[in-house]
Amino acid sequence: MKVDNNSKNLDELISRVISREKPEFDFDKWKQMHREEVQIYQSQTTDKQILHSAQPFDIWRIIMRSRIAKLAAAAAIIIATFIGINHFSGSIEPANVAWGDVVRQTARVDCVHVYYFKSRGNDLGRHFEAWYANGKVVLCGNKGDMTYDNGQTSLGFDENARLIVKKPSMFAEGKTFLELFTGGLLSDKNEQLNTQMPTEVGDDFLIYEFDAPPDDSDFIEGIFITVGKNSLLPIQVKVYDKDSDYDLIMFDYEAPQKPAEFFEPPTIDAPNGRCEVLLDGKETVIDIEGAPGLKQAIVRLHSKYDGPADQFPMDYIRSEHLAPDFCRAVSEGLRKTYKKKGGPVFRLDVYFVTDEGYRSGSNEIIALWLDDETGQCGVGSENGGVDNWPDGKYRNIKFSPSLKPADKEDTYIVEMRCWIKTNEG
Amino acid sequence: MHVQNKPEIKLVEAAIAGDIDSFGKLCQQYYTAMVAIGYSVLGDLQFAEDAAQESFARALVNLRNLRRKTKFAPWLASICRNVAKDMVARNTRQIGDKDISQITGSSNRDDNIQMVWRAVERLPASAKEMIILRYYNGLSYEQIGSVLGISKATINGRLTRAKLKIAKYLKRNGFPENRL
Repeated sequence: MKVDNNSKNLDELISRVISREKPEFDFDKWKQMHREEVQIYQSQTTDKQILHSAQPFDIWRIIMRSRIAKLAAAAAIIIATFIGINHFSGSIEPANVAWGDVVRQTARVDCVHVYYFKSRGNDLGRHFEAWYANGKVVLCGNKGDMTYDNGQTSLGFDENARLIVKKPSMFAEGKTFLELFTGGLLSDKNEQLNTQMPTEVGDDFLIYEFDAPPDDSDFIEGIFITVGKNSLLPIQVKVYDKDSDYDLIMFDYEAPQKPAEFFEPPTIDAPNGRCEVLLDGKETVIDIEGAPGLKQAIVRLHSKYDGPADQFPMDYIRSEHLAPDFCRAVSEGLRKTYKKKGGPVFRLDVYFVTDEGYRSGSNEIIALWLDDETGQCGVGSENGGVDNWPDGKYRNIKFSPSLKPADKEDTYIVEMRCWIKTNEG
Repeated sequence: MHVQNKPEIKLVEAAIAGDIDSFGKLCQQYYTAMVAIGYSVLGDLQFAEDAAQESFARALVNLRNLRRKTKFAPWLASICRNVAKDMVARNTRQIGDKDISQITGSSNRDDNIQMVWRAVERLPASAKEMIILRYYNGLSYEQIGSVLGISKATINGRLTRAKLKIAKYLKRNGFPENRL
């Protein structure tokens, strides 16, 4: 079969499935919808101060867009004393200390204080700070958001201490803190990395340089790590992005270990609504309290699946409003989760009624496991978008549903935490 | 290698210096391409538009990080890819869904057309992105080169290889050869 750029039949066929009208973009409307970002941008350019991104905190996204650069003499300013850590006492010549030796030494660390900075031109701003101790982590983002990970579950809270993320521990699959805080770039399972020797051996430090992993090479230039020559512990990791500056991760072993209660997450507020729901796909109204602007949540529970993982239906998520490809992509993701978590799993469709009586759009792609809270979900207006409400105001409804068993057949308890994000107040 | 033209660099410089209207012009210029990139990841035009607009928001607050002004479009494209991948990963929706386009659900689509779509969908991510950039709204080689930061010759080679993969898939799945 000859195929080249003149194969008109094929061109026409592809055009038929892809070609669409030009999308329209209204910048003024976009600015209205992104006031927060516009304000940050204007602050940055008028005050020339470091202001941090309006994105929600996401360690993986931050790190995957980064690279590591050349170590400068700045490494010398870092003085760390190591408490409770055995200094490396092996007889290996420093030049022959493989990265794998550093990784093994790191696995012996009980506690560490981590600082994550991002450079902005000539400035360096803190992006988050974290404390690790004996398999637990507390992570403090710049906007006051907090993450607590106890080795089994990771709970994320926004700046108002509202639970917005609940997911398996970030230490799943045996991740070390080093792997975690470098976004998986420094996996201890990478034998190619583990055999690499330092590129520089100084009086006090060893320097390791790594290329970006192939999957990240579009974004990352390389990785440079300063390691204490005696302790064989990483002190500083520097990651340079191809198109911007660098991220700097510092490991401080000096700070005293935080007390146990420091690693305990805040008390989770009671749900804003709760109701028994039948597994019949019919609408059930949940009265909402303590969430200004929201009067009711209306849910439909259906599509229970408890079969073999390899037969998990690829059309589990179905909607007349959503493109089949998108539904299939979501179903595929759910199949992977199902394989890990097992069943049963349920589908829950959710929409809301505001105090004004406006009905929101429906979120139809929520899958729920019993006694498990979803991550934060969201819906906008019934007509689409977060600013297309009948009164023209901006409303983005955020919510986290959870499902518990009831003592009746095919009956479950749905609990709903929810609130409205507006541009007012 | 595509070289960003001078007027565009001036827009980028002005945007970095605080001229939001210049940023708006850049958004207008690259909106279609960003929607195409989002679409190649998400397979849904409405979500793709959301991804494009969200990537503008992230670009705006991180504009000062852009060190190579000649690489604005590839930088924006990488942000857009990440946003779209995040959207798939999050499994959550921030918008209503009554206006979602049904690009793959058209009732008049016959089996053969669906097979073509499946062939496109099964391409490796970079090849799929290239195909959609080219065929979605007929972006020119120059426009694609600007967004991906690659030469016309490279685009041509990648397109040819992607189309060959599509044709092979179609043939393997019994697509009428006289229609290829």
